[in-house]
Amino acid sequence: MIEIKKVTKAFGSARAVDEVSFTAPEGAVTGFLGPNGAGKTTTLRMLLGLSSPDQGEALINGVKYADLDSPRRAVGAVLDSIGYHPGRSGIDHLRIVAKAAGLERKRVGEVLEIVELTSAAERNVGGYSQGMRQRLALATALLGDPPVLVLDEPSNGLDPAGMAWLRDLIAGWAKQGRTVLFSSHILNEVEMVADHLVVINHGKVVRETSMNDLAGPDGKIISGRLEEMFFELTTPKVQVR
Amino acid sequence: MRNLIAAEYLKLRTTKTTWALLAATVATTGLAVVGAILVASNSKLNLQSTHGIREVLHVTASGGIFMLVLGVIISAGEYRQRTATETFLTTPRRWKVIISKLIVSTTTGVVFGAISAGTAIAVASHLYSAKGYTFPLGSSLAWSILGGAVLAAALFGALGAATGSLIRNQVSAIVGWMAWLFVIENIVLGFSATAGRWLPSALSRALVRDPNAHLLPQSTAAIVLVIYGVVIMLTAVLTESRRDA
Repeated sequence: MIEIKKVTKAFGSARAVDEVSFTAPEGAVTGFLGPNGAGKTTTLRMLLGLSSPDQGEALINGVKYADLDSPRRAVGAVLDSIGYHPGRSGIDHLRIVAKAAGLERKRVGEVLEIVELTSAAERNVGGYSQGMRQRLALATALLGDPPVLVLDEPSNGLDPAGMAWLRDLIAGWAKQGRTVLFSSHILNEVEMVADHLVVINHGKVVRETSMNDLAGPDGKIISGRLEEMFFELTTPKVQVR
Repeated sequence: MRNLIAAEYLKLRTTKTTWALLAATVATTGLAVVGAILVASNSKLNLQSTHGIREVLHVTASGGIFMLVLGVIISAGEYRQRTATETFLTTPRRWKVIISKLIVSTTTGVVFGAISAGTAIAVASHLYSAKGYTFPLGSSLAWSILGGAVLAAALFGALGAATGSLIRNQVSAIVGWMAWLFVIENIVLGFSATAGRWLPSALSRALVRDPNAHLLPQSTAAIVLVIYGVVIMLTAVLTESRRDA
């Protein structure tokens, strides 16, 4: 379970994240939605110990990221700020992370299979497409077989088939009982995979809800309902006199 | 920590830069020894004399600059290639990362230094016999100079890694060091030779007992360089604990 408790972060005088609180429960996919610059990435970076909140705390199964015994076994993360040495092969990148985290070497081969990157593993990352890099990032996140996954815009660079593949993967993780928190601004994608929803705008949570609330009497999500809600929450109101 | 250090070695082995800098170190050392022997024999210096040995072997440290560069790359390269995020996700306690890098860079410096010393011995033995001398392999002076060269490479590796962690910007750290070693230090030396003796380039020359200047004793030079490395490292650790990745 992920708990964000009244987390605040300011850059200069601008409050990028302003008393944000929400919970991402176990066994569910939590979609973290918001327009660009809403504070999604800043919140996730604080959750992952990459930046420290001015106030509040972000906990993973009750513990701060920096206090986790073995972070890679506890949390898998995909972030846009993750880069690769262009002259290093994908498999070497994974071996380095596995080594540093004290994980079994055979796990490298397993995660390469999961993300379907085995055939390109020996190639230098410099020659990878954006989609292949994203698969490598997912493979790295999965190395420690973590119960919690934090994914910031994980479908970036994936083609439609890749996006469908990723959706199945995310839904599968939640079915296994894992906590999945993923940010996106592709509403369609969130609609298809999320169970739980957190919408953030200008650094504040403007709605935390279950996807069931967007369903009609038949239990199916009403198409377009999420988009309608999103715009209602994030578009500045124009006052008509 | 052991896993972290092993991972840092793996990072080094899996980049071509490491091997290119090692090749540059070997080539520079070899050429420097050839040059020193030619100059010494042209000035009719007895190559087996104390002065001759110092004149020839002190250049063994001339490849140390590449170890400094590698040290900077080991630390600041993570920001250049944006691999720092993954590193800190694995090890959120950043001081551990800084210290592992320092250890890896220092021990890699020992290896670079030992290979430089081997290169110097090989080249010098060959040229000594060509000129009718025997290279004094049993000379304690020769070994103290070669040992000093190994130490200089190790400590330059440490200085590079520590500054790379502090500055984070690889290009600035490397350019800054070059400016310091080749320009600023010479200016300081121009004003005061006494003060100049305490600066990194002069200290590394003291480690290899460069006969061409009035330098500090080997042991003092080693201690001062260690202090510089520790101070920069501690500053990096303190700074890093307060900043975002």
